[in-house]
Amino acid sequence: MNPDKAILLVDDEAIILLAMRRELRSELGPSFRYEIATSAEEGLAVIDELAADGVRVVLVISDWLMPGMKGDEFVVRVRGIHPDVRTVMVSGQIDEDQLDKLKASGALDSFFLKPWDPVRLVSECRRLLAEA
Amino acid sequence: MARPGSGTRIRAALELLGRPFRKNDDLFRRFFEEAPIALACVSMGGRFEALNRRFTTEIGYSLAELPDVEAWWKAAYPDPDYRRSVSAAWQAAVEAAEATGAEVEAGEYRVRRRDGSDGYYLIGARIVEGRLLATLVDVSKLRQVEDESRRNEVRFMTLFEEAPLPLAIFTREGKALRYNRRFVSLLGYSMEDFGSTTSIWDRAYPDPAAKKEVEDRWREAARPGGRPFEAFESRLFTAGGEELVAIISTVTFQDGLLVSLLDITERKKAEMALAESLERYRALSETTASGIWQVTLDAMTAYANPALAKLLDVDSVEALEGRNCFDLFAPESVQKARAGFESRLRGISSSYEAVMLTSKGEKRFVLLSGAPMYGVDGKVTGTIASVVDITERKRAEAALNESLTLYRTLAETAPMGIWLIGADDLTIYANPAMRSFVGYGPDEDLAGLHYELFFAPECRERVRYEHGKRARGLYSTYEAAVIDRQERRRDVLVAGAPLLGDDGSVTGTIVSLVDITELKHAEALLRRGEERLRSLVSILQSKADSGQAFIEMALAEVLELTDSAYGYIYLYDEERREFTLNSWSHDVMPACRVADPQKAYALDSTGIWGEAVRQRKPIVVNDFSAANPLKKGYPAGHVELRRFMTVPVFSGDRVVAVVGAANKAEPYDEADVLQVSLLMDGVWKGLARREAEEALKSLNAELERKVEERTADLASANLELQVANVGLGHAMEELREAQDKVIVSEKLAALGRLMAGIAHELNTPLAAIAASARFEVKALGDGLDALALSASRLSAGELGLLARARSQVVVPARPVTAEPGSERLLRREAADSLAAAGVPDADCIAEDLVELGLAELAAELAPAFAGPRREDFLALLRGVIGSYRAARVSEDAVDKAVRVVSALRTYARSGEDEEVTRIRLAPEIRGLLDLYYNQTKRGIELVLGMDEGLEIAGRREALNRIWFNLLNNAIQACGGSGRVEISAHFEGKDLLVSIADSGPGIPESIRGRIFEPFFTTKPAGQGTGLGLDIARRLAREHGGDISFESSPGRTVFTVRLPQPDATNLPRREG
Repeated sequence: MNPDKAILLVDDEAIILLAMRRELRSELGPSFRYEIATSAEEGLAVIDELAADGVRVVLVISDWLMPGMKGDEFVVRVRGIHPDVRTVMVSGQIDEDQLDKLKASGALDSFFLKPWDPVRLVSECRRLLAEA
Repeated sequence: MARPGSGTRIRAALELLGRPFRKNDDLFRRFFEEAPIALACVSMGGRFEALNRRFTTEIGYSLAELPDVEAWWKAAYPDPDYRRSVSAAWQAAVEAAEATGAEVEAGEYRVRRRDGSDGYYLIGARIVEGRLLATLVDVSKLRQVEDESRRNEVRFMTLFEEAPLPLAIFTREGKALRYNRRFVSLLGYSMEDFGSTTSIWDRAYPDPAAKKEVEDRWREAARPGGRPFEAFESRLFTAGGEELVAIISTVTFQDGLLVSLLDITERKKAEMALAESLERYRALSETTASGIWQVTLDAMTAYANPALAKLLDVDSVEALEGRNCFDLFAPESVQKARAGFESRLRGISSSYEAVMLTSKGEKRFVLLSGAPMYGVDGKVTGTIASVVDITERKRAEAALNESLTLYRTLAETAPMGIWLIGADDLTIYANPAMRSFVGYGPDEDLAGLHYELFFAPECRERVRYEHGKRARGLYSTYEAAVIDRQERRRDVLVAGAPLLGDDGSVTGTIVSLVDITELKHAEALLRRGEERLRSLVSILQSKADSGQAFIEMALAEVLELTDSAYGYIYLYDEERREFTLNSWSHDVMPACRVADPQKAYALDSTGIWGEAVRQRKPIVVNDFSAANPLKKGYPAGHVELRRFMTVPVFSGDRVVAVVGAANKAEPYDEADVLQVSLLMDGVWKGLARREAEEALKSLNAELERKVEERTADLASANLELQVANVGLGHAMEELREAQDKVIVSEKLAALGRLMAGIAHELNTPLAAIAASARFEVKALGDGLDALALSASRLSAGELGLLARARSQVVVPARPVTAEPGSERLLRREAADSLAAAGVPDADCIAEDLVELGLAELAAELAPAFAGPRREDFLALLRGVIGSYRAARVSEDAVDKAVRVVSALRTYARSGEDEEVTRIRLAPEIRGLLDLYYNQTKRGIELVLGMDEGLEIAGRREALNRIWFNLLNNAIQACGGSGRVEISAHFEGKDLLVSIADSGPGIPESIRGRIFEPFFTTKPAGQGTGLGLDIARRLAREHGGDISFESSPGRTVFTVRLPQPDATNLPRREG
C-alpha cells in the first residue's frame, strides 16, 4: 500500500518520536505514512519532500520546546503553507498565555501535555483526520 | 743863419739852374717844372710869375694864391713880427744881390705851409734876366736833426746828471771824467777819490777775488777794440762801508766808457723776501682747499696745487703740469675758458663759472677766478686762477631749479586757478586755469591788474575783508563769485595765503581758486531733493482722513516743488482709457472758465496732456505758444498756459494717474520732472500703504478677538491638564511599584523558565517511558497468546530469520534510535529490496522494519514477508522485537530522567554551605582523571600541566564539579582519540585553570549558546545540557568566570578564579 497521506511527528527527542509513532501506527493503521523529524526546520523540509512525491501531510504533531525554531512558530508556518493541515502540539510544559495566543490565532488545533494520555491523543487525531 | 755845408749845395743847385735857363726857354721851363726843389719865379716888382710843381706840392700854395710877395709874406709868415723881420731881411738880401750881382744870400726861414704846418726852408735866389729865381730847400728835417742833436747833447747831459742811475764817464785809462749825483751819493766816493781808480777798486772791493774780476773786466773793456763788459752783478762797498749789490755795466761813450751801476740791494732783499713769500705762497697753495692754477701764455699748465689735482681726480700735481689748460674743461665750458684766458692776456681779472672734467670724465662745476700774472716788465706772463668746486652748490641750485620748474609746471597745469598778487594788490602772475576762469585767453596776461577787478560786485566787500587778512599773515578760505569777461558768473572757493619774504615780512599773496559752480548747482539740486523728501514725508505722515485728501496734499506739494502757478491730477483708468479729474489747484478752476469743465476725458480726445499717457513718459513744453504737433489747443476760457509739464504716475506697469503743472516762471527742467515723478511715486506707494494699513488694522482687531476666545479655551484646557497631571503622578507611582514587581517577577520568570525547562526535560523521558510501558503491557499482555500462536505457525526457516532479527537488535550497546534522515533512506532501500523480492505492501513493511530497527535486514527477511505466513512473522517481529525495543527505550529514558534529577540536585545545591578551604589542585584533578581510565585506554592522552604544590582557595565540591564538567566535555569532544591538557597558572591575583582538548572545535553557529541551560550537542540521553551552565555558575560564585577559545583542533576552556591574599585558610586534603 502506498498511502498518499502522511502524519508528521516533530520532536528533538528521538525516543518520543519512536514511542509516539509506534502508538499512532498501531491505532490509526497503515493508511497513513508516519514521518518523523527532530527539528522544525527538518519538519518543513520533510513536508516539501513529501509534496514533491505527491504525498500530502494531513496531520502534524509537534513538540514545543526545541532547539532552533520553536513549535509554535513551526505550527504557524505550516498552517501558512498548508492551510488544511491539522496541527497538534505536545509539550513537556505549557505557558498559558502563549498557548492562548496560539490557539486564538487559529494555527493550533489541539494541545497535549507530556506524558500524554494515549486514548485522548488517538481520539483527537481521529477526529482531526476525519475533518481533513 | 745858414749852416755850414748847406749853402754849398744850394749854390750848386742854382748853378745848375742858371745854365739851361739862358740857353733854352722850353727846356728851362720843363726843368723849372720838374726840378726836385721848390722854385719860384718872381718879378723884380714883386709879382710871382711862376711856381714849380715842387713848390706847390711841398709848400702847398698855388700861383693864384700868391699873386705877389706881399701875399707870400702874409701866407708864409703869419706872425706879424716875424714877417716884418723876414721881409726886411729878404729885402736887404735882394738889394745886396742886385748891387753886387751875386746871388741873394740864402736864409733859413720858418715857413707856414698851405696845410698849416710849419717847415724850415733855406730860401735863396739869383737874379736872372731881371727876374728873381728863388729856391726853397726844405731843411726842416735837417734843422730838426741839428736841433735834436744839440738838444740831445743837452738832454744827455741833463739825463746824465739827473739819471736815477749812478753813472760815471771814465777814460779808457780809468780816469773819471764826469760822474753824476747819484753815483756820488750811492757810493759816497768823491771826485778826489776818483782820481785813481785803483783806490776805488781797493775800497769798493776789499775782497781780492772780486776786485780781480772787476779789474779784468775793466781791462777788457778798456782795451782798444775791446768790448765793453756786459752787465754783471757785483758786491761792493760804499765809502761808508755799506755793502751794496749792484749790476755794473759799461758802454762805450765817445772815447771813454760810460759806467752805470744799478743798485739792486733792495731788489735783492726784495727777492729774498719774495722767495720767502713765494715759499709761504707755495705752502699755502699746497695746503689750501681751493685749486690754484697757473697757466702760461701758450695755455699750458705751469702749476697746479694739490687741491686742484684732487678736484680733477688726478694722482699728482705733476700729472697736470704741461697740460693744455683747455683740455681740462668740459666741452661746453671751453669757449668760456678761452674768453677768460684772452681777458687775462689783456690784463683783465674775472670770475666765471665753468665745468671741468676729472680724469675719469666726471663733471665738476667750478668757480674760476682768474687774474693775469705780470713779469718784471709789466707784461702778462701768464694767468693764475683759483678754482673752487661748486658742484654741490650747483646740484642744490639744479634741484632748486627743478623744483621751481616743477612748481611752475604745476602752477601752469593745475586745474585750479593759481594767482599771485603783490603787496600792491596787483596781479603778478596768473596760471592758465585762472586766466580761463576770468575769460582771458592763454596768451593774455593778467599782470598788473587789480585783484578786485575779477570778483562779482556783491562779494567785493567780503573779498576785500578776506584779502586784508593776508597783510597780517593770516590764511583764509571763503566762497565768492567771479564775473568773467563774457559776463558769466562762476561760483568759486577762494583759498588765500600770505607770501613771506626772507625776512618774514609779507611780500604778497598766493591765491588758489576752485570753480564750485557745478558743486553749487548740485547743492541746489540736493536741496530740492530734500524739499521733495520733506514734502513726501509730510504727505505720508499727514493725518489725512482719506486717500483723496492725500492726493490733494500731494498736488499742493507738486506745485510748491516746481514753483508752478497751476496744477492738477487726473486719475487714469488703463482699461477704459479714460481720465477722471481728481483734484486741481484752487487757482485753476476759478480762472478756468472753460464752458464745460468735464470731469472725465477719453484718452483720444486729450491734447498734449494726454500725451504723457500715450507715450508713457513725461512731456515738457516750455513755450506753449509755439506750434507743437502734439497740442490740440485749449478751449476758450481755459487759463492761458505759457509753460507746461505733464508726468505719468505708474503703479507697477500701469499708468494710474497723470500730474500736470503749468506756468512756472523759469523753464521746466529735468530736475522738475524727476522731482514730480519721484514725489508722485512715493505718494502713490504711500497711498497703497495706507490702504494696506487700514486692512491690517481691521485684521488685527479680528485677530485679537479670536485670541481672546482661544485664551479662554486654553484656560479651561489647562485646568483639565492639571487634573490629569495629578492622575499621572499617581500613575507614575504605580508604574514604579510595578517596575519593582517586574524586577522581582523577572527573577521569578527566569526561575519559571528554568522550571519549565526542567519539567520539559523530565516529562519527555517520562512520556517515552509511559508509551513504551503501554506497549509492552499490550504486547506481552493480551498479545502474548497470539504471539505464541504465530510462533507455532512459523517454519524453521522463518524462525531462523526471527532469531537472526533478534540477534541484530538485541545488542546491549547498540543505540535504539537512528537519524531520521538515514531512516528515510533505509526505508526506501528496504522498500526497494522488499519490492524486488516480490513482497506486497513493500512500503508498509519497510516502515515496520525501520521502526523495529531491522531495515538493514530487509533483503534477508524478504522471503518471510513474501511467504504465506508473513502476517505471523510480522506479528512476532513486532511483539518480540518491538517489546525489547520498548523496554530499551524505557531504560534509556529512565537514565535520562535520573541524570536530569541529579543535575538539578547539583544545580539547586547552594555552594554556600560548603566552606572555603585551600586545596592542592594537582591531586584533585588527577583523581578526576582516574575516572576516565577507560577513555585513556582507548587512546586519549591526558596531560596535567601545573605545579604540584599549586594551591587554590575555594569550595572543593564546587570546584570539582567544574573540573568534572569541563573534562567531560573535553574528553567527549576528542571522540576516540586525542589529547586533553589541564594546566594552571597565576595571572596577578587570579588563578587561571585551562582545560584544552584537541577535538574538532565548537562551530561558530552555536558558540553563543553553549552556556545555555539544557543546550547540548550530544545525542539524546547522553547529556543534560546543563554542564557548562552549572560550571559557570559555580565559577561565578567564586567571583570568577569561564571563557573559551575554539578552533578546529584546539578548544580551550579557561576558568578564572580570583584568589584572596589570606593564607590562614584551612587546607583540605582529599
